[in-house]
Amino acid sequence: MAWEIIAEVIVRALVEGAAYSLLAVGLTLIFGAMRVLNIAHGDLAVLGAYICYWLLVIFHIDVFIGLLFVVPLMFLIGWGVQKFIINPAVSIPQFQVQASYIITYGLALFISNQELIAWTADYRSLTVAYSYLSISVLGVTINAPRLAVLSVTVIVSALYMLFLRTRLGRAIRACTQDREAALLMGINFNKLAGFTFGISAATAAVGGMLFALTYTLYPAVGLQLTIKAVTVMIFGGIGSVGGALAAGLLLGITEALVTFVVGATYKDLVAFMLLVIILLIRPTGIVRKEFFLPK
Amino acid sequence: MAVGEVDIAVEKGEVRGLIGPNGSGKTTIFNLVTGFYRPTSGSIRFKERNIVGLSPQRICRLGIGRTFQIAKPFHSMTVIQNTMVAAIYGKSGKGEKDPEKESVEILKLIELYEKRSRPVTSLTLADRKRLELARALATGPELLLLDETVAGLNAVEVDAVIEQLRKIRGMGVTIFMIEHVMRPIMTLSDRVTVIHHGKKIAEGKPSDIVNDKNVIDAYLGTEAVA
Amino acid sequence: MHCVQMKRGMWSKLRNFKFSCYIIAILCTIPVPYIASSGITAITVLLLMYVSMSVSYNLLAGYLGDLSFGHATFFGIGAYTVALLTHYQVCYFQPVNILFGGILAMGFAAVIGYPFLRLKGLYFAIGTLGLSQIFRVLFKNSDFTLRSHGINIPVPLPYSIHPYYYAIVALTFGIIVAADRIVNSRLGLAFVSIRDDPDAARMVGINVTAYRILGFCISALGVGIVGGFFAYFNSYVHPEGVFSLDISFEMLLMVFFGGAGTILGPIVGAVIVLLVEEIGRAFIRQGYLLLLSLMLMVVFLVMPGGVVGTLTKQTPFINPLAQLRRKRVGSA
Repeated sequence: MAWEIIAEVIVRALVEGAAYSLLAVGLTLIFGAMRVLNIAHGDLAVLGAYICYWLLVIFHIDVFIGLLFVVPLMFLIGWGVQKFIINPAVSIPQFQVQASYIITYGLALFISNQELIAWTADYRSLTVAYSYLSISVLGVTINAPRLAVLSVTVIVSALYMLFLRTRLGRAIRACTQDREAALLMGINFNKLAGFTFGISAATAAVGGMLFALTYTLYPAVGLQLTIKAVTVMIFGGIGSVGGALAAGLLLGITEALVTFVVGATYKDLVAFMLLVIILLIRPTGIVRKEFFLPK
Repeated sequence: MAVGEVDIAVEKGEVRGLIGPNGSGKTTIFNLVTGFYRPTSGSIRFKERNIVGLSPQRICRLGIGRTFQIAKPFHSMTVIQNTMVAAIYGKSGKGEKDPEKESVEILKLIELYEKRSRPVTSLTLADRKRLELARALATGPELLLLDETVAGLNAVEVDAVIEQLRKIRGMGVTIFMIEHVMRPIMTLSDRVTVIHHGKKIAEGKPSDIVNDKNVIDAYLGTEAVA
Repeated sequence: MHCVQMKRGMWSKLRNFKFSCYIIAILCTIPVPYIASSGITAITVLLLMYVSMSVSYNLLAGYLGDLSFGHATFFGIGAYTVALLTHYQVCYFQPVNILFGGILAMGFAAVIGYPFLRLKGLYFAIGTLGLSQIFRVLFKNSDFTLRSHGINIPVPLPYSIHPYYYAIVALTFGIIVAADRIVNSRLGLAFVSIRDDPDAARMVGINVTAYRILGFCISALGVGIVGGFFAYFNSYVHPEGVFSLDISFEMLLMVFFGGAGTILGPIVGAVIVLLVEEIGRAFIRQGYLLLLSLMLMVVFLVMPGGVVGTLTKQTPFINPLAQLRRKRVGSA
């Protein structure tokens, strides 16, 4: 029945989009609050996915369980990156504007090449042992892994919603909206920055793991993921978590449609072209006004 | 909305002061005139011509020069190089083609000639402001928009600037200046416009403005003139 | 220095010094194929390619201050133009093909220049990054460009490195001289003004967007021509190889490591990057970029002006507000 095919495509798209959503959420959080674009974001995600992979392959730990270990680890790594790499870079008087993206560009290549050396360019895949389990919803079969993916996404989203209501979360939101005002209100930016980056990296790792579950994993995919995350972030509205979630799912659906119609090889092109197009149409191209507000 | 209904007409050859509390929209007016902002309605006319929608560089070439409230020098260059850029690019179509000579003359007028080969980064605040003025002047403007040129300067420096502005005015340049420091406003302006909350609340001779009740309430306070 | 010199005497002295430097450098490079091994000659060719690319890229990134993260796009356009012209038997004359490659690259830059160069630094960087990826995917999947198999360019036999070598020598010097002239002209002054403060530049009559597009096009031309040369030298062109992030990154690194916004800087940077690459390739093989990326991060934190910048105490990228905050308003 046609309905089943459509539903199947939708579910698949949502599952794939979930990864993008989570990636974008982490990115939009940092960019919104700190105006730092972490080009290494996708590579952090890939790193997290690789760790899950090795946990699976060597210790036979299920990927979702492995997350319990990976998430705190990536949080620490993210925090470290902010403190030891981003912060010193952004503090250099000469490069305040360009610093963040130049140095994270270097970081991205550093991480991906480390992975290349350590684990080669072979394509890896994350698998789960219980793919044969499934439930039936509205005539559509959803197998256990997909259910797990959707559940994880829902849980993470819920956590975010809760988090944004906490004191720290509200501080981050304040920074996103008006950084100077937030600083004047006494928000300690340095402590905030490390924590935000940690959360971003942790979320990215989850997203990376989900991505590796549905696609394949290899070192060079990190940068592509970053680009896709940026696209999603811009579409969802910079600084908006909900927007990133929604836009990520949309991207997943669009990619699935394109794959369906034109073929898998052009799938990646979607995100890249959307990015370029939206950058060009974006009205805040020059944002002349901003030049006048002394920062 | 930063600036509401504002109707200002500056006469050729006059010196017009623009004063008002912080945030009242003075710099916004300058931004509108110089093409950095676009008004949602109304027109801005310069020499019989509507300049709304023109780019800042176009407006510069038409004859409007401007300084910025916070000095924006070209920090990789020296003083004279800064001035020369303005002389080279700002004077297109205005005749006179020796940017070096013109820059030297202007720097002498603004008393920066001795420091002409210094990198801009080594200048004091006062000198940076002077450079702003020199650079704007180097574009050969007919109308000069000055944004708080004497802010942060001590009394001696303020006097020097007032003298320079007098000479500039003597060269036939129309001056429209934003200031919080009252002395240049009082001594130089032919007329003063007062802005508050984006609207014009008074306009007239400096001596009249100082006694205008609206102005005193909004801005000056009773201990007005410096 | 990159600006118009004031004192006449000094100017001609400087000119003579520079002129003699050029002469000496050319004289040094001419005998290489005859006295050095073929391996060394090949590396010199590679080095000259790097120098040409980084000097071209420096015009955009160093002098104009617009950081493109996807400049490999133009390299690839140049390379593929040559490859396709040869493959489809349109033209076999090398100089024409290479030149055409550069011109197409420049043309493309002109077309996309206006929308792209209105973007703020960060978005421009990401946008150009995305652009290079788009090209990569498109060329990888198009039958017209032979997909990922790549295109082979037949090499005239018997093989001699001499024509390639001297071609790149001429090219490199041409590019360096052109860059030097540009940078010391009014155009260069405009570029630096735009980099230092675009709004102030606008207010003194510089059409910022137009000049940015111009800088974009000129740098695209240089890089495109090198790409065309690469197609002949390598005799094989494929999407992953020419639209690669590695190439974009190398350009960025060469300019920043050597010293953005100076003439000598990118040259020094090219030498160092090539050395590190060759050494890295010998020891680490695949992931040699690791060293480079590490270098970038370290250099950035420790020597923001690059090698040349730090040595000559020139710091080309300065945020004026930071400068104001840092410096006490001191001596007159």
